[in-house]
Amino acid sequence: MVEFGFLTDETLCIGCKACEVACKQWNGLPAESLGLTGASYDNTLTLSATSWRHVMFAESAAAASTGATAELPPLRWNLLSDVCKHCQRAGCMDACPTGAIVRTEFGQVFVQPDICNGCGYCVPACPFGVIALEPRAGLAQKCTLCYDRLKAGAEPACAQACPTDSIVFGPVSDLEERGARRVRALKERGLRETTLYGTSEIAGGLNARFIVTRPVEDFNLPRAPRIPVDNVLPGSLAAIAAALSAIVCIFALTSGRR
Amino acid sequence: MRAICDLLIRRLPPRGSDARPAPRGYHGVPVLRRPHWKWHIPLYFFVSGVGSGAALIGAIAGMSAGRGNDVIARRGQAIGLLAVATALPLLIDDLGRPARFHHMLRTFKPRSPMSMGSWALLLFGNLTGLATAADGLANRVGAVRYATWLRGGAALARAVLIVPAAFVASYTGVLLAATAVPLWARARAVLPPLFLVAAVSTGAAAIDLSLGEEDRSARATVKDIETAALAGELALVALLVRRLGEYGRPLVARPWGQLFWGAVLLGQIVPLLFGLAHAGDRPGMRDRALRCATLVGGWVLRWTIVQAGKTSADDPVAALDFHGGRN
Repeated sequence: MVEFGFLTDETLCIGCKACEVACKQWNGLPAESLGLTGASYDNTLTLSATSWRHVMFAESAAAASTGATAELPPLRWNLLSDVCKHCQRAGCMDACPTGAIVRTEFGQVFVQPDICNGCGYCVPACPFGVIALEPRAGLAQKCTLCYDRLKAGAEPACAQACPTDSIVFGPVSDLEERGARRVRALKERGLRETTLYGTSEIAGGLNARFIVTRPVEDFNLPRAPRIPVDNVLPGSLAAIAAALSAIVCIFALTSGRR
Repeated sequence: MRAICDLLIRRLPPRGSDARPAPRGYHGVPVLRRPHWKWHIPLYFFVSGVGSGAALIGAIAGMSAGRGNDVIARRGQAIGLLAVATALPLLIDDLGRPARFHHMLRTFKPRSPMSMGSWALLLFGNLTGLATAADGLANRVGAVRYATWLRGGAALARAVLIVPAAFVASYTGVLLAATAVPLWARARAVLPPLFLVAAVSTGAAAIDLSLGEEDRSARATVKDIETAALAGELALVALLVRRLGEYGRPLVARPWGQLFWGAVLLGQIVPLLFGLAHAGDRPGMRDRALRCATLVGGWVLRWTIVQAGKTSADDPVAALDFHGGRN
């Protein structure tokens, strides 16, 4: 099975939000907010149940910038289009009690809308804060990696709309190679902090990976996410130990009076 | 032993001077998403705790030889049944699509605490129902032979009930731990025992309140169980606070600290001290009031832990720190 995914490159993003618009149009998602948030030029602030692509406007101090004055410190934009990571070890998929969240033949993590009953347990189980409940539909929703388009042989709407190829779609193995090549090239050009986020130590490997030139935390990306299912075994062992002790104590206390 | 100590009390390593500063994040936007749970789910944690604790006490009492144990056994299973009847509407009403509640039983998924909890609740509800029905019928049938069979059936159902009762009492702690929320995930080995012991203390309090003045030995027995459980609960609260370290701030300080410590004082320390000081006394009205305090304490404990988890999920610095290797 060939797994497909995204490679999103911060250095190529121009912040046009064509990916956000294309995603909403194809998937029939309503607009959320067109107002100013105070967070740079960001309108939606996060991914949500109805925003499956989100262009981040991180700001950082530029090393050497033209146009800086005493009043205005030299700033630069770091633009990155965020999306569901389609983890190999997906927290949402582990947590789902109904089996609504599955991995498809293209390797993406997909919520079956006819199975999900809106329990919402997947929401706090995602270490990236991606999946969310849509209150009107009563379902958990997130990026589907355009499952319907892949079925028809087309690429996802966001990747097709991206005018700079900041978003590239393809087989994960190809993207891995392409990403490594791009990171090498950027480092040679002096962007020493450039990293490829989403290799196997992040949630078992992400099918949607990112090239960033800043510390990953600047984009709210956790450096070493702890996968929730790893807490099930320690929690269960502690529960069994406590249950056995409780049963012995209750037995002793109930056999005392004769 | 070392591993257990690590899981229960190991403190966070200090951030060394050479380490990276606290992560900055993106415009202060939360990294994680808080669960939508309002009052249904914390109330379910409390109600299922009372019911499973009472049923666990009842099931064990039914098998041991103490005086007054038969009435504890019957009351325990009845409270368990009542709790399931209250819990199911709460759980179903909390769903985004209540009409699809039966999808919970599409799969059997040990990786998902919510899936396993659904199955355990199904088994728990059926066994408490069977035991209660068999006991009730046994008191009505005339023939001695049939009554004996029915009582045997009830005893068997109660014996099997020990497993799902202990499961329902503790899995809610595993359910919170198996999330990305720093405050819950950090307490992965403390929350399940704490919820189990709180289920036993509140279950004992509920059985006591259901007993009449004439059930003196039964009341004395459940009072002993409650006192022992409260002692364990206090020890686990201390472990929880120590284990959480800086991630525990939403629970032990603002915004939930006052409520949390109030519940520990009035719902745990006070009933425990009275239980120890008046261990041999005849149960009276003051005891009823103390049992109510234990129940309210058990409810506020669940409420504050759930609410503090939401506050923890909203904190991007805690999330980036926890999911940056300090977990």
